[in-house]
Amino acid sequence: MKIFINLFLVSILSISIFACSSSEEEDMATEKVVQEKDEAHAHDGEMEPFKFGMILVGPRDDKGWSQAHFEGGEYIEEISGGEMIVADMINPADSPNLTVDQVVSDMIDEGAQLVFATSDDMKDGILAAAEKFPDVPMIWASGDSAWQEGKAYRGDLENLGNIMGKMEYGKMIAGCAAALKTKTGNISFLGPLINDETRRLANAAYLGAKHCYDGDNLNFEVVWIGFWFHIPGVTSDPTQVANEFFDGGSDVIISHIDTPEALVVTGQRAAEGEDVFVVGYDYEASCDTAPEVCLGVPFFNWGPDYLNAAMNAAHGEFKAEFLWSEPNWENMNDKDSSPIGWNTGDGLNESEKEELNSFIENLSSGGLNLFTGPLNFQDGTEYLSDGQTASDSEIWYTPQLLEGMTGDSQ
Amino acid sequence: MNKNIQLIQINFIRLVLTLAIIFFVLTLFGTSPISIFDSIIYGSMGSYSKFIRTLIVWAPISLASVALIYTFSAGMWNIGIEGQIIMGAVGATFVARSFFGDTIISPYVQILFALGFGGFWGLICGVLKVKGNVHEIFSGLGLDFVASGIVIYLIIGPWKREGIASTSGTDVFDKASWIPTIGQNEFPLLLILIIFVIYIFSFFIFKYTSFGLRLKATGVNEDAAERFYFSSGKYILLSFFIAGAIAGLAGFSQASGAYHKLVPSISGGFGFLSILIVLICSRNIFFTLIISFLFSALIVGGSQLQIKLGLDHSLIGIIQALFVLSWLILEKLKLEKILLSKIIRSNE
Repeated sequence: MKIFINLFLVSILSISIFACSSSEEEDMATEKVVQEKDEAHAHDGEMEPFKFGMILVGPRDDKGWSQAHFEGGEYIEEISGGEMIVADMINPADSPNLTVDQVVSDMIDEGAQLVFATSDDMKDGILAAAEKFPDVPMIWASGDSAWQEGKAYRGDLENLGNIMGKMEYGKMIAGCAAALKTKTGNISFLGPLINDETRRLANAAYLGAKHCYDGDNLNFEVVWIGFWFHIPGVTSDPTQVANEFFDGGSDVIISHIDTPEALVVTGQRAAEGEDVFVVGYDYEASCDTAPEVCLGVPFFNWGPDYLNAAMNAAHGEFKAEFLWSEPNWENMNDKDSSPIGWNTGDGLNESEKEELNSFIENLSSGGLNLFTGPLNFQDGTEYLSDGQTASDSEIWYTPQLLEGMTGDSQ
Repeated sequence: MNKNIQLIQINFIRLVLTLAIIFFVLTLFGTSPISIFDSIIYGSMGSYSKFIRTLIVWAPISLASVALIYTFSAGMWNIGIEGQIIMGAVGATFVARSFFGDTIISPYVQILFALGFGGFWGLICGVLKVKGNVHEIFSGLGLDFVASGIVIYLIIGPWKREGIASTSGTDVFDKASWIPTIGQNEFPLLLILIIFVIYIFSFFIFKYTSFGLRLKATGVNEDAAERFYFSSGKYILLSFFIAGAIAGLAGFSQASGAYHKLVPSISGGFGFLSILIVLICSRNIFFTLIISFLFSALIVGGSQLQIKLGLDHSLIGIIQALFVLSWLILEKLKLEKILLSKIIRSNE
C-alpha cells in the first residue's frame, strides 16, 4: 500500500509541474483578454459584448460557401463589436456524433444570444434546437421554415428565421458569361446534391445561358456529386467530374458546389494549353484560384442581413422572418447593402464584358425577367405558359430541371 | 489476487506516463494542456445533458469493443467490424421505415434486425475464412467498403427524401422508432441496460464456460484445438457471428439513438477505434468498459475545444493517437514493471 501512496505522490508532483507552467501561460492569456476587453469597453461604453454562434458545414476557409458565411459573421463583429463563436466542419463525416442541436446548446452555454445554422444540411438539427430553446433567436440560412407560403412552414417556431439572397440573378449572370464564352456550345454545371435550391439555381443558370447564347446548339449538362462538397468515399469526386466534363467536349464549367475544385481543374487544363473556362460560386475572391480562366463569380454577401438579424436579437426585436433578399441593383457589389454580388473575371475579353454588363443592366432595370413563359420542364410538361411570369413559390420550389437541360431532376 | 493488484498498479503507472507524454506534446504545440483537458472534462461531463451525450457515444464504442473481444479471443482480426456496425444500422433503419416504424415495439424489432444484419455480415467473413481460407483482414476490409456502398446507395436511392437526392441522410425516423429514453434529458436507459447485459454475459462466457475456453484455445493454437476433438472452424464462425451481432447493436444505437436517421458515415469510425481500445486493454473486459468511456468523453468533450478555446477539433484525433501509441510503446518497453520492481525492492 505504501508503494501505491508513493506512486500517487510522484504522479501528483509531475502533474503539478505541468499545471504550474501552463497556469503561468494562462495568466498571461487572461491578462491579454482583460486588456482587450477593456479596450472594447472603451469603445462601447459598459455593455457586455453581444455573442452569437456561427455553425458552418465546411471549413471556415474553404474559399466558398462556408467562408462567405464566416466573413458575414466577421462583418457583424466589425460593425457591432459583437463576438462570434465558430464551429466549422459540422457534418456527419467530419464531426461524427456531433449534431447541430448539440452545437447550438454548447453555444448557448457559452453565452450565444443568436445562432446561425448556415446549411441546408442542418435542417433537422436546427429545427430540433429551435424547439428545445424557444427563447434563443436562430437563423437557418437558405431554409424555408419561416415562410408562410412555404411547404415546410413551421409557424410554431417563433425563434427561427430564414435568410437567403436571390442568387437566381447571380446564376443567370453566370450562365450568360458561360454562354458568351463557349465555342463548342457545351456548358457543364457541376452540381452538389439535388433539392429545391439547387434545381432552382441550376435552372436560373440555364435561363441565363439560353438568353445569351448566340446559336441553337446549346448543350447544358448537369452532374450532381451528391453533397455540398467532396466527402471521399461518399460523394463523387468533383475533380474527376470536372475533368470528365472537359474530356466530354465541354469548354466552360459553371461550379455550384461549396468548394473550388472546378477552378483548380480548369486552371490545370488551361496550363496544358486547353481553351477552357470556369465560373466560380459562393465566395467573392473565388476567381483568385485560377484568375486567367475565371469568367467571374456570383457570390453571397451575408454580412448586411446577418448584421440586421444580430441587431434585432440584441435589442430583443427578433422576429422569425423569411428573408429572400433582392440584390441592391444600384450597386450589386456594395458590401453594406447587397446580399449577392458578381465579380467579373479576367477570362472574359472586353467585348464579352460589355455584353455581360448590358445583360446585367437589363436584369437590374427589371426589363428582363427570364422566369417568363413559355417554359417547359424536362419531361415536357408545362412550367409557365406563354407570357406567364413565375411566382416566388414557383421559383423556390421548382420540381424539375427545365427542358433543354440534361441531368437528373430528382 | 496479488497478481490483479499488480496489474492495476502497472496500468495506473502506464496511464500516468501516457498522460505525461500527451501533456508534453500538447505543450510543444503551444497549447495549454490543462485548459484543453479542463474543457474536455467540462464538455463531456460538465452537465447532465453533456454526460448523456457521452453515454450515447459510449454505447456504440463499448458494444463494438466487446464484440471484438470475441473475435480476438478466437485469434481473428475482425477489421470488418465497421461494416457490421453499418449493417446493424441498416437493419434498424429498415424496421424504422417499415410499418413497424410508428409503433412502440419498433425499437425492439430493430434490435432483432440489427443483431441479424450485423451477425450475418460478420458470418460472411467467418465463412470466407473457414471455408475459403481468405484472410479475415482482407475480407473484412472488403466487406466494410461494400457496406458503406450499400448505405450510400440506399440513402441516395430507395430511401431518399422526397424530391431530394443528397448523401446527407434519410428522413428522420418517427419518434416511436427512437431508442426509448427517460426524463427530459433523455437518459438512454434501454441502451445502458443492453450494454450491461452484454458485458456481464460476456464476462461469464469467458470466465466460466467451456465455450469461452474453447474460443480462447482456438485463438492460441488452432491445430492443437483440433486434437482436443472440437472443430476450431465452428468456433471461428461463432465468434464472427456473435461479434457481428453485437456490432449490429452498435449500429442500432447510432441510427436510432444518436442520429435518428441513417447517414453515410453512420459507424462514426467507432469500429476502428474499438480495435485500438481492445488492443490497449489486452482483451480485459472491464478495462475495455472503462477505456471506451474515456475515449467517448474525449470525443464528446473535443467539440468544446473549438467553441470554448477556438482550437481546431482535429487536436482530439492527435490526443487519441498519442494515447494509443504511447500506451502500446510503453507496454512493449515494460517500463512500469521495471519501475515497480525497483520501488518494491527499495521498500524492502
